[in-house]
Amino acid sequence: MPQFKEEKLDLDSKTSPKREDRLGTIKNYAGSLSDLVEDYKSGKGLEWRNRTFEQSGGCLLTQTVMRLVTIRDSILIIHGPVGCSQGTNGYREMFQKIPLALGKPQEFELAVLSSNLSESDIVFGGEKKLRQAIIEANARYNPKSIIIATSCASGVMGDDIEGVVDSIQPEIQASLVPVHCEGFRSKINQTAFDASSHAIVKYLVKPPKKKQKDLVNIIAPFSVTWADRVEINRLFAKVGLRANYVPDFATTEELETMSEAAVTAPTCASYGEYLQRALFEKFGVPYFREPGPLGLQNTADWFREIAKHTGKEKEIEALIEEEISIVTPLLEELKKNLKASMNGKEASIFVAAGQLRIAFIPRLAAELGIKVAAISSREIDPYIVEDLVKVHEELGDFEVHSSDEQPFEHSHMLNRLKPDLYTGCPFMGVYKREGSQVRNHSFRSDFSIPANQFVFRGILNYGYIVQRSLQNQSLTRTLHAKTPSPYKSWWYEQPDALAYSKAL
Amino acid sequence: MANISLVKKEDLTEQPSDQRCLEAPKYTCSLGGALAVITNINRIIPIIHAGAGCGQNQLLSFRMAGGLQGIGYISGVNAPSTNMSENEVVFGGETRLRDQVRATLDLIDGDAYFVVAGCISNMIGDDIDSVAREFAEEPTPVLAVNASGFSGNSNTGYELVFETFIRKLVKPKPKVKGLVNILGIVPYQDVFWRGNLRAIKEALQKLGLKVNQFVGDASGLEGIKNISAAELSIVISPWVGVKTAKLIEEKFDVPYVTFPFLPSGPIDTSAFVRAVAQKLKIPKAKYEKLIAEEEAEAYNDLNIAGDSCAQFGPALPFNIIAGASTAVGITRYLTKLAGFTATQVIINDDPPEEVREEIIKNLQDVGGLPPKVVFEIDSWEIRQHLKKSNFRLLLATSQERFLAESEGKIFLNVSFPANSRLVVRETYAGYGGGVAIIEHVLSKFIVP
Repeated sequence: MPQFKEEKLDLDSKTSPKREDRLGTIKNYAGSLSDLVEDYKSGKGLEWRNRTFEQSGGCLLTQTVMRLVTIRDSILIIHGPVGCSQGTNGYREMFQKIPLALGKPQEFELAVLSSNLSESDIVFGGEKKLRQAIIEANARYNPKSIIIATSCASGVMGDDIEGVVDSIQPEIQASLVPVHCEGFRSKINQTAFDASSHAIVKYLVKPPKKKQKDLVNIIAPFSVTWADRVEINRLFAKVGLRANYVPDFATTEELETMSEAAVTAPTCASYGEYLQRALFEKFGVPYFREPGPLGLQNTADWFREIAKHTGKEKEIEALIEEEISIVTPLLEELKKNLKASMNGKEASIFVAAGQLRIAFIPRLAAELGIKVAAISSREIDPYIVEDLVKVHEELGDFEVHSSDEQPFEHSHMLNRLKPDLYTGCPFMGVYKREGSQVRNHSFRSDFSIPANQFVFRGILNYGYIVQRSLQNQSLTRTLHAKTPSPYKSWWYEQPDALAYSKAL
Repeated sequence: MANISLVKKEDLTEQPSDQRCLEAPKYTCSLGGALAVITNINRIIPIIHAGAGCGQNQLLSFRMAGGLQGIGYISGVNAPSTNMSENEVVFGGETRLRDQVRATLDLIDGDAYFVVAGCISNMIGDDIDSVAREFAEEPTPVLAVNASGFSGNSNTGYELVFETFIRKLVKPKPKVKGLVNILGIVPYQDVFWRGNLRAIKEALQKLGLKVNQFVGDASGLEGIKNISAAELSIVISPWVGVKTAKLIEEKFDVPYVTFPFLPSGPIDTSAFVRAVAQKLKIPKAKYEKLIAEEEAEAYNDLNIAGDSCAQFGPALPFNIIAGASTAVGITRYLTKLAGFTATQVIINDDPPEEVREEIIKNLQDVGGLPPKVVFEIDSWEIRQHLKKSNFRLLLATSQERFLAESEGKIFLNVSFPANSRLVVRETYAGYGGGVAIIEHVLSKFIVP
């Protein structure tokens, strides 16, 4: 079986390469898991295809700014026209209502400035405006760092971002961190995660003053909720570990000291892969890429990986045993109720998510007694196929799809496979159909207790939502019956969800 | 440790709006405004010719900030988009656009298709009009507009779309008696746009008029084509839509009337009805009878809510932060009828210099002392103005919510961005709109 090979990262370069070049990532796939596994074993790589019809999704900028804006003592500058900052305009306020008991930091102030590029800037260049925004951000907030996110407009113009940064950095104390997230730069918008990780490691992370054997960096995008943090902290405290949640919602100092941690643990493979590797290659912080802490088995394995690097094997084995013994009876009851909601039939699920979830929710689903009809990943990196090989051995076959969540393709697959439940990104809208739908994870802005879906007890919260959703399908059914669908009927009558994808 | 900065901050408030950076801006770009209109005209299908994130920013985030309004028929990340990448930047985007238009016509069920081009397309010089013309033989029209993000704000985008409709699609038609066009209400930029248009339409229908609102109702392409059949265009804004109304007048001989703020409550709604009725030469007896009936009902509403105003919010001092039309409309109702005290009005949607005097004038004949009027588009600067003002109630965007609430003020989200309010049918326009503000404000703080 071929092993996925990785080149060493060039952390001194201006920014990360695009993911399609660095990893051979794709975002067009439809087939069975067994085919994917077969192709992988025979050495046939993932094939890049272009779509002649696409729906809008995210770009490098939208993918990263909503995360970078949460760095607590940093100010974000979006160097583009005013519309590029639209998605972050609510972030200053979004986390204000979170109870302190859930771990909301006492004092933080999030702010985003747009350099507001206008017609004359496009003619004369945007550097003057960027400089103005940096000075303004610094004077208004006195931040520890200022993160600069580039846009399509600044990229096409060729603004010399590093030149501006180099010229102004000596004059201010805040560390300037330019992130190259020009929207057009890569067809794989997750390249943005690499670009922001690259910049954070290049401009912020400091060599370790001391190694902290009990400190665990946890990659924490917005799907790691406050309730997740409380639960992880509770478990960590029992075994004498501390979590450093990065990069989202960290302070500049917490980012600077990522190099001191004993290990970097994943919760999202797409998000964390570059950061984990960069911390390893530059500062020797070990990491593991899988599994994600979803469900009982995956969480146990996740903790065991952490144990290897922290010397906590004994404590962690005891923790696993205790947690599983608490969760198991509740899970058994939940499984019974789930089955009853389906009149004794096994429910089927369509999982549309990021790579870590599509690879590890199948195991969680099996623990809940749910059958996987299909998984649909935003993108597929070759390394995740290695995980899927294991999933195939354990759970057998189901369909695999990747489209960066193109709704017309999801709609096609849902219409054909008719799973009882669709779990996906809530941004995609409601799929009008006979069948239920639930978001596949919570957000950090949701500070309810059931928003805890990671680690051992998370499976219960996830299961309760699934159960309620299976029992009441009125929203999707009503919209299906009473409102029109935009896709013409021929789309559903032909068999191929990738009909608009072409090999190069 | 103090951050010693060697560089001095400028005073940006004196700079023209396109020459200053903006913190948490109160509008989005032209592309956003254009897509806001197109995706809310029934069965008109947008085709975004821009970067992959533009759809998410303008059709998801802009819609959410515009009162958490969801995707509907085809919008949000469902919207067809060329998702331009490096290849198009280097070799041009016309081939990609051609494929996308063809595929969209085949796959998405619509009555017309509208290419909306963003920054990249304009910067690399794609000829979107010629690509659109290649589809001239199709049974459904294919239109195209250049709405680069750097060309202006949401209001610019609104006018650009109508300009394209009027120049490329609308043909002269015989006039239909009593048909009027409504302009100036930009979806999401006015978070209550659905309810506001409905309220305006209802008020005009009672006059016996047929209302062409195009945006947000079922009229779709037919509504757009009927623009030329109207007897009058009615602009409800100090300036947004005026350019469109002038173009309609020039091309199709349809006169227009401007009502420079949202009519809220009996005084201003009656003024609005009179302005339209007089322009259309509706007999005075007819509209005055209608006005008398509607006013009686609206004043009775106030009679019911008035006790609570007097008891719980006597002369309640308030600040409002909103676009000009909403800010003026609400301030006039609350001060002229409900006895509230306006201490500061911050207009956040960047009206052009030439209409600012009129906006200030409409805030002079209010109840009580005239408020301080500020034109400001930057969130940080707005917060500085708030800190200097005396108020108990803040009517503003969700961006001011926590500043207000952390100081124990009463807060109501009435303007864009409205990330903390789901708005579908709510409105503060028309005869019933005024008392709705009182209901929402007082229900925020009366105990138990």
